[in-house]
Amino acid sequence: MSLLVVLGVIAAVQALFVVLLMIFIFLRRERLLRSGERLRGARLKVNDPLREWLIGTGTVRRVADALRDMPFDAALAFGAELHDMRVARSLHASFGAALRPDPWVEWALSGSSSWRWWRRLDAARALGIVGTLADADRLRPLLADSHAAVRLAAAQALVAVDDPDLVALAVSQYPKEALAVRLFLTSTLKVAWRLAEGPLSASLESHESPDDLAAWLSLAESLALPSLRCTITDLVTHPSPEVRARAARALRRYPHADSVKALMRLLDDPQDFVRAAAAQALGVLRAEAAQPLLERGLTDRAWWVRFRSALALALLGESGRAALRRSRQSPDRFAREMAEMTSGLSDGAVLELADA
Amino acid sequence: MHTLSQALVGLDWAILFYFILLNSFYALLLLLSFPELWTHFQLADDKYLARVLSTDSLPPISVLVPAFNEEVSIASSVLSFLTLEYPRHEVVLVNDGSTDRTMEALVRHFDLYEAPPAFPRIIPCANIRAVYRSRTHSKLLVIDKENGGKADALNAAINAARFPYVISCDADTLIEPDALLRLARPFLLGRDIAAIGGTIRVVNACTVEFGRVVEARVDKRWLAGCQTVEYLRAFLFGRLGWNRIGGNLIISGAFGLFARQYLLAIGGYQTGNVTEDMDLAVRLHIYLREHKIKAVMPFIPDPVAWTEVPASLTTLHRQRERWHRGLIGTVWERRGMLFNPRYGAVGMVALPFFAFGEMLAPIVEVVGYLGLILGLFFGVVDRSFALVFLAVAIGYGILLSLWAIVLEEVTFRRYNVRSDLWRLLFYAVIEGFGYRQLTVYYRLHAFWKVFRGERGWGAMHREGFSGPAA
Repeated sequence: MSLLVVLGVIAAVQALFVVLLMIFIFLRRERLLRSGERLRGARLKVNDPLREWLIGTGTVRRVADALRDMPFDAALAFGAELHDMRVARSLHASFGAALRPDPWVEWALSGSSSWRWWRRLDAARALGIVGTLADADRLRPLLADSHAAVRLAAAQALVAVDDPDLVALAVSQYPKEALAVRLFLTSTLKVAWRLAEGPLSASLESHESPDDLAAWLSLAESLALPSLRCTITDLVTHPSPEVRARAARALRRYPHADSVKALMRLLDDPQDFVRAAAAQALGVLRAEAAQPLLERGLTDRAWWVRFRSALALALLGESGRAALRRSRQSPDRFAREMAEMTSGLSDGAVLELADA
Repeated sequence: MHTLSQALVGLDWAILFYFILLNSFYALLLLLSFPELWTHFQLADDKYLARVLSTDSLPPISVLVPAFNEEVSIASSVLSFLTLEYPRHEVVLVNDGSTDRTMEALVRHFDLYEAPPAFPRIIPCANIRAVYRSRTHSKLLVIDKENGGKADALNAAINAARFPYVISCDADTLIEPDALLRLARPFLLGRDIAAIGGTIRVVNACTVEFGRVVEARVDKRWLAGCQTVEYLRAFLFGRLGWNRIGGNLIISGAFGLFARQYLLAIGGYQTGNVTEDMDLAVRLHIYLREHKIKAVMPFIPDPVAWTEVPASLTTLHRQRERWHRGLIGTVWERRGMLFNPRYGAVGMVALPFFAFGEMLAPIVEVVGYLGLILGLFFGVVDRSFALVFLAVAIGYGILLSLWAIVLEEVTFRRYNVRSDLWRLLFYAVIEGFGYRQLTVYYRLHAFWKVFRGERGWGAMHREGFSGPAA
């Protein structure tokens, strides 16, 4: 076969592909338009039974029946949306129980051990809607899945499954998780805080690496459980500066005289980022007792400490603002410049910056 | 005569070989983009992820905006940056010695007051005249400095940035409100990130209201229309394909995210380079390889920024000539990396591709055209062969553009008006007849300018956006 014939064949195949692609593009658009209308119709059919069920005049079975008419993906997404709504946990449980026998749910759950991560993802999502204590063994490997998206969905399912061992496992592997999974575990553990309290306290008292302790401290900050305050306060003397800074940050959520005392001690820490975190926390706690130390912080050699001290003073109210005004005449150039910069900010701007 | 005909036949075979090799690589990039898009869409519509994105625990980001003579549009641009949907971000705007009233417009609109320049100058940059903060928008920091060019302005902004991640933007780029949230997705999935590239789309015919694109349209004018298809092709499968190979060499200067620590480590942007974005990406790759850092530089397709493309041939000429000059400069400067296994995929695949597939492409194309014409003239090349070869070459370009439109249709589908779809298809077909040859000429001109040692950007005329208060 000559080169000319080969090129001719290639040209013909290309032309065929060009025509096919153009047809595909238009057919797909038409199909999307039609399926979009169908989906909107199916969603509308769910709305009425859903509303009636939520106000107590309908049954959850009717909602489940309406969901069966939806495409699988849309039904799963709708179930997850409903799960995100702020409704009583008993309603979630009855919704899950009503959906459980449906074939599409069974099919989704059957993917929990699939080699394809998106099938495992669907299984984890479905567990978040229909999971019960009996599903603990199915959820366990998903919590340790190789794909972060699967672990993220599995974290969501912890509330539905409500197993103490799984919550303890989630707390223990919290420091190793990707940020997204951590965020979801945090919001899940806020709901399941009774199960998380013990394992988290034990973790904070352990002698794990500073990185792990810092991660657990950030979880403790989010959960803000009063029983953890003493443990966190003890950690402000930890040898690792990262742990001390994280403990200072966590204490923002624990308003107590002991927290303020511990934070004031941290204003003398050798590490600037620890001093900055302590100044920030004192501002958030509106610790008036710390005002002289915060004024001293305006002359600190580190920019961040001066910045955080100035914002903390602004948060203290009129006395702090007066201190900032005085500092604008300070002989110390650093204090003067930082006071000038902060004094121009509105109250809203100070709040915004102080939290960032 | 015999020697000439042998040389022409040899040349034709060499061109054919080059053509097959290059297009096979493009086809490979296309194939590699499929799994990337598949993975992406499994996660992009994730309701869970959407909820995570609305929390306040995302990494804080500094948006760096260099501005030069943007008096008319600066207020609405800055406002659109300030109102991006992201829980923690600041905007560091650098007025790079504007000669119009850009600075006055900023002071007036944002109630600026002068604050001490309280940040260390880690990367050298031109003299800073003053630093301003806003009484009304705490997220805004304005640096007024002497003119030093875009790279210099970005270096000043990197110094002043408070947060660990920075995004470089052009002042006339419109970022979609949720683009920062979408850019943050790789962090959330636990990847160690050195830089992330987002998608740039063409804004020319779009309806823009208050600094936001409210309706995406395809321009009726052929020049902007062809560029719309070109951008789709470049971003939707070109860069996605590179993700799999691990050699993303371009994080667009108009919209890219970087870890500040790495920018500081490599000394920021190089001020002498006319395409500072590619140079920066290459230097980042070098730094990561030499320090054995596992951080990646992915491109993700759904964070979108809109930019105006040249609407006149003169402006397009300047832009393409400048881009190609930058490419030549970067490849020449980094020639030691070519086929050097020490630099992994970047040295073995990406840089050779950019050197031989992109930089030398206009020369090869022109030599090919000349060879074909001479071959036909001397009767060495068969006329049917020449015609079929041209048809295959142009047809392949059309096919690639159509694939890009298919990817757009099955994924984002931004162009909802049916006539726009027709237009995209039309431009995909006509792009190979004239537009492509024009850009070849512009890129050849870059070689001439490099040969003559010319530098600089050249003036870029812009038309501005349609719609109220843009």
